[in-house]
Amino acid sequence: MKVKVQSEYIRRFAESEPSLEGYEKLGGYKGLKTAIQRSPGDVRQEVVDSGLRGRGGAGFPTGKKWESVPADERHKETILVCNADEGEPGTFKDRYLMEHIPFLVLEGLTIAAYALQAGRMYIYIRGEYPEVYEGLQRAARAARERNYLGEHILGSDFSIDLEVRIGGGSYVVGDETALLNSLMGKRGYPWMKPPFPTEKGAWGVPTVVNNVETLACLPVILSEGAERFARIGAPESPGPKLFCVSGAVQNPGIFEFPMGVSVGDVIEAAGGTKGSLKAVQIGGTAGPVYTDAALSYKLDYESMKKRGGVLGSGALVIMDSKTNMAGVLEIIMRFFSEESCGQCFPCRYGTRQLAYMARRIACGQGRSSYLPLMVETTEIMDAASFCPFGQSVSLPLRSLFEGFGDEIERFIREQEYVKEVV
Amino acid sequence: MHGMFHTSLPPDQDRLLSLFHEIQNSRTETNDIPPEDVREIARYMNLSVAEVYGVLSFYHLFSVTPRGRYVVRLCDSLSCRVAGSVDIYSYLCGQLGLKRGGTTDDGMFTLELVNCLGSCDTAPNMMVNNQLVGNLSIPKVDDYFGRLMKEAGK
Repeated sequence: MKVKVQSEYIRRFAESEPSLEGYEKLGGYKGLKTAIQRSPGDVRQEVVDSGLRGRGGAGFPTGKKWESVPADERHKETILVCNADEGEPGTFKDRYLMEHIPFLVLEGLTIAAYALQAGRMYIYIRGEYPEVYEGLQRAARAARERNYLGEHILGSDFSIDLEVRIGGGSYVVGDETALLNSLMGKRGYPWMKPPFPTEKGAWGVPTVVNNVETLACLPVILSEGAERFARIGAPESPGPKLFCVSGAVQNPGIFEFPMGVSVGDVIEAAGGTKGSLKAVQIGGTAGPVYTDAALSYKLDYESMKKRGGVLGSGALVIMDSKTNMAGVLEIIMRFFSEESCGQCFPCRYGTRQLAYMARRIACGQGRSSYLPLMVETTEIMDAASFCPFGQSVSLPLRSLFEGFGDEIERFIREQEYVKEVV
Repeated sequence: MHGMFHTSLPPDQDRLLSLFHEIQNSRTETNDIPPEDVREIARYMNLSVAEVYGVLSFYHLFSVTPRGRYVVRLCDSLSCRVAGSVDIYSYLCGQLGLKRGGTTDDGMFTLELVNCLGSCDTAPNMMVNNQLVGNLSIPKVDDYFGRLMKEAGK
């Protein structure tokens, strides 16, 4: 796998072989050694001070999430779950971390488990990553042999082991409550919060769910201090971030930049656009599709939110002038209809209606009345859907109509046919 | 006792997905979890058949109906589309004489379309059983399927 990682943070580990010795040689497990010298409360405070925000998509402050485990519930032994259900289209950073630097993820997990004084910890890997599942089990065995996992870790009083679990193929399971249902062997339905998982999670026990990349930030925060981490990037969104660049660029790959980097700089790092830039979707399938005006946008949680968008998982999918936007509309709507969990009516039915209309348009059978009807459908879904999934369809849909509505309308008028309908 | 499958997994519900994978991977000719096994799993885990079936049918990777020896999952998410997944899809459909979801008469191949396989820098991608195959082109597809046919002695 050809991966380009430009970074101060990840690269130093990325040059190692995915072996424990290689990882240690490059400074691996320094963070855990630092952490267990300190009290769990101290470690939590360090992470609060770092300003680290969840890298899975929502951007919730990690330290705040940890602190939301009720202190009087800690006797129940908190469960820690690493969310490795990387299903957001255009996103492949977690796969990269787990395949190439698995010990960075394991070290981060163990630091988090210590800080939370967790009793059990899991990695939940999406079903589409069977080789990652095997690789992480091997890595966990190696870590266990060196006492980075198991009884009395590194001679301390703290003991914890890791269970690696695999999913069955479902996008919705990336949501933390759905993930916990899936972890328990149930359908991957999200549940209504509260209760938040940190109060009442898997098997009724307080449960903290953190993304792979979030956990991978912890070793460096601990070994080099929160202050240094907090100085990188944007004030409200500190730290480095992995951006996944794919589509019509010369060198697709993963690029680490400080938060707040511009879209143009990230695309340039990927060798620039192949052909001329027409559109870019940022943050995953649930993110808006922008015109080339997005080149100057800053990539961090606050800046993207101000633009009405999302940073999401940090995915950037580049579309060139050959890309047919009616085809893009069809792919995105089909995605939502296939991945809706079906639990609530507005999302189950709404996504199917949207996919139907998008497909008719792409097949040259669309009507101009479809466009306002599609917008109206997403308005209903925004208001009535059970979880963020159904509410997120409106972002890509409305941005497509705003930026490329003329093209799609012309397409409907002339009743063209996208040869690309599968 | 469980008759159809053998497993070292404990009979706890949180092992259900792992058990599905285990059974499906062991059925190398059909890549499925047949109804008899669903009943056995329910008995083994002390769940109702409906509950087991309800979980099984929720996830994309499992199937209760027989599939081919090789399940081809071609990605058609945006990154793969921009990189030409449609050409690969049309070519595969033509070569195998299939459409989405179909299985060849000789039971060799099932063609599925899936959402993102999480390897967008190597788009277009497909997964054949548990193996990821990236940077697809028509010659690469020819080569790959040629090897699979040879392996199968066809």
